[in-house]
Amino acid sequence: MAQLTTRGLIAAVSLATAALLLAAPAALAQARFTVPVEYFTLPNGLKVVVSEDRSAPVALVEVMYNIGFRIEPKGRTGFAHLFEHMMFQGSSQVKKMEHVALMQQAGGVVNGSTRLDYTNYFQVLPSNALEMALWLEADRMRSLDVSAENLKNQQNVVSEEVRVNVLNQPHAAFEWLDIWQKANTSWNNAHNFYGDLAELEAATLDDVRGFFKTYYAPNNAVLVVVGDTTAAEVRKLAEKHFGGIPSQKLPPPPDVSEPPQKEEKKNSREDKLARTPALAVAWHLPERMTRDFFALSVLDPLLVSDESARVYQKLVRDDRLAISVIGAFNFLGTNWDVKGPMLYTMRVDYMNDKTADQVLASIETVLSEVREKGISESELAQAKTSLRSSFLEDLEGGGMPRFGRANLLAAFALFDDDPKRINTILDELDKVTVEDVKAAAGRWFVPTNRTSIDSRPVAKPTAAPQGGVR
Amino acid sequence: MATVLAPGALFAQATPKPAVGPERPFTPPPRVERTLPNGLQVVTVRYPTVPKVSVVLTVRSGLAEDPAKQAGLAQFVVDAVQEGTTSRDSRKLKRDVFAMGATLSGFAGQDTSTFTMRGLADTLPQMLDILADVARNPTFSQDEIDLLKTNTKQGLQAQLASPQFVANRAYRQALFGAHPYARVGPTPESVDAIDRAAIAAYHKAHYRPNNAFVIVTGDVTPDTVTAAVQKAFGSWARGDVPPSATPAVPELQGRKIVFVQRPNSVQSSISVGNFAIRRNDPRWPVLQLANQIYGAAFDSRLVRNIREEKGYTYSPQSQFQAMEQAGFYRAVADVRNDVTGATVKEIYGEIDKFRTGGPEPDELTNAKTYMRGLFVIQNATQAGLTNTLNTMYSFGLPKDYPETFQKTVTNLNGEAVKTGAQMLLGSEKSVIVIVGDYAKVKDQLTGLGEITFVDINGKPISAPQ
Repeated sequence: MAQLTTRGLIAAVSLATAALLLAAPAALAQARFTVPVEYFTLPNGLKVVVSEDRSAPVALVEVMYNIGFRIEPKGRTGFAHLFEHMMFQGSSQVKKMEHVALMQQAGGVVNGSTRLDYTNYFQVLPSNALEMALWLEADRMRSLDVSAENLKNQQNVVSEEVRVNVLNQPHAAFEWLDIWQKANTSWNNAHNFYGDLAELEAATLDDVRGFFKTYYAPNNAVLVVVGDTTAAEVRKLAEKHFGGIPSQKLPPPPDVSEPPQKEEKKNSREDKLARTPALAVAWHLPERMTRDFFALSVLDPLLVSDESARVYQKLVRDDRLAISVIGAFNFLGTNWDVKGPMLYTMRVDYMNDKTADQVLASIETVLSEVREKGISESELAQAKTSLRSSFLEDLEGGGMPRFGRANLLAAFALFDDDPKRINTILDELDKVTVEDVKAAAGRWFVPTNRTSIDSRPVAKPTAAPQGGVR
Repeated sequence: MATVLAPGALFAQATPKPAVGPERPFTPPPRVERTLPNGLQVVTVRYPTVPKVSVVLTVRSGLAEDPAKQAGLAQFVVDAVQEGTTSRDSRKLKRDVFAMGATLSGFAGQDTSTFTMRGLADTLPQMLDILADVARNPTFSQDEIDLLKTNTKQGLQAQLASPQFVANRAYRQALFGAHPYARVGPTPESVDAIDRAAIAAYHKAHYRPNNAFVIVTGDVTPDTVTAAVQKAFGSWARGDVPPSATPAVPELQGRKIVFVQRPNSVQSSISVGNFAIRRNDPRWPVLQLANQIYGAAFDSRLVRNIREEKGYTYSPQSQFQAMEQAGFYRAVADVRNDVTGATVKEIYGEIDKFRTGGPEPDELTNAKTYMRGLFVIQNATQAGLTNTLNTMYSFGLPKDYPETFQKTVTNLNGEAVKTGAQMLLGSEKSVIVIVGDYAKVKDQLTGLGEITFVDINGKPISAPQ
């Protein structure tokens, strides 16, 4: 049970009795919705997590490997992501793209992604095809088998991915690529995660085989199944198909720590494809699962989650500087699926005739108010309700049915050895107090911890609309 | 901890490929339909996957009904109703939504305008209260409208930098011409022409209970929902809604090629397509199946060709969009500059092969299993099922559509799919739109035919040098 102060508990009760709620009851007053979680490890070190869910005859099968772009080899930027592509290019019993074909022929949809601290491979399928999905994942974990021709092909595909998502876009995804390179100093955190095209092209088949051998081992991974099955069934099938895959000796994890930032960093760039300006801003976040981390997790929705949030209201409505604000602990996932250093990032699309300094000043006004005055008890309760509602969203869906739950289970298993934390993490957030939030904001959301990039079009736009008149 | 085995043993433990068991039956949970005395249709589904609820309010009017000079008016109304009502100003409205752990968004499509809320199931009455307030009592204050106009224009400028936005708009323009479906939203000119009077008049005429329906899906019971909807919407007055015109869709004469000049592009964004059928045409499933085989599925003819064999692109898409008055097909690929011409050739090559030969037997069987599986996947969540129902009620699909869809797919045969492919994928009569840097690709486009050049705003220009 979450510990609330007596004051918080009284507030929760009186709010719960209000006829038309203007502030939702504190999360404590709600019955906690939990999901079933079974967890075991095979002798070869493969972690396995199962969450049964019979609401529809589907299953989500995910394998998450404990390797992401943060620690890819130097001189090979973008390699971890290129490697992810190669995992679809054949294994000892499966031909190029046959994994996708076999899943599709069973009614399923396949994808994968590369992130800072993991690479995941997942599919949602009618549950009658569960064993096929497990067999496919086991075959490529055991025996990736790729050719020079397939590598060349995927180097081309990935280059086009970088072009379509970055190089041919206004502002070149600067809110998750460039800002990391500017805010951080350690190579692991400060290189181009999508990859320089030349370095992508330089990757060799030996690189691919070496990377596979080093990182793609059962003792460096977790298998998660969510959906219309039983833990007993999954255990039986996991032992059958994955049990014979030998574990590998893993390299010691490198030091990916970031030294504290002591001074504000300001940057600017010109963009040949942009027609309007945008600003990316980032602050280093405290270490995962620390008290300040939880406090800022609760503050986050109050700052940027929707049009009620403080930064949106200030920038768009009060000061008429911008048309939109997006922000997150993690544009590529959740608060819980990054292990190493993180950045809290915002992207603001601002008006042609305004400046980045004006935007920064307004954001700083919002943050200094939190640092000096904190937030109210009712805002605290609302933020927790918002987090709970978003979390429930992920437990059911998350892009693909059941994926949100599977990915959370995978991260809690891989990083915390505790997938049942999925049922207690909201309780940990419930413990956050207004004092915690104020203190954490005071330590982390300060200008000396801040990096920004002002991205401006090269040519002046022809018809610049004026910012609204107050 | 870890044991290292001899290399020879590495593959020794491979297990044989398993069989796939028989498909498990799936029908979405039952729906309860009611119509309130004021004409508002209410559809409820109990689907307690998580303690949340989806609420959708769809008004049966969209962009296609906007006056030509006020393109985007329907979207403007969707935005403006969310910026203040008689009892809540904009800020209070947003705060109330946030406070209960809910989200609210609105979208104007061609034929309908839909407001979507997601929230905790036990706040359903409060969610409906806000949704009804927004639909029934907007104030359209001049200040809010001015801000909306300013920000919409800035937003349009920002969007014009995106090649996908430009390609979509240019493709719709090239295909539909003067038909209302050419419009994807407002333009700077139409924003200037939209004023408070137009917004208020539109709302008064179209936002009527007899021109709308509500869908509620989640951890709720039908009786509670009906009572709550009655409470929030029951006194909403009926109105006479102006009938919508259905202009004829233009004829395609041969291949039409439009090049949209976008300097500094490192890719060409290619669209190829033609007209297809309306959404409520009973041939929709067979065209959908043809589309999956041709290019919509990851393992499909087009994707295998231009991505997995030739590496021209990361992002091929095969879109079949069917709406109330008409439908269209569109193949999309963003490719590096130096394979622009080659990609167009491959797209048509695959089209012609499929039109002539139809599907292979295996392809047909596999595609049917895929479509049946997709149906389960798409309806495995509250939001997913709500989306299916929104489509069903928006386009007047048969009453038993969700219950019979999988069986319909099973009964499709190869000849029907071949005919469907011929209907779906135009060859001689089609439209090609390329967004890119002409100087970098022009040598590849000789022999394609006559090219019309426009800028990113769609204004005609002479061939760039």
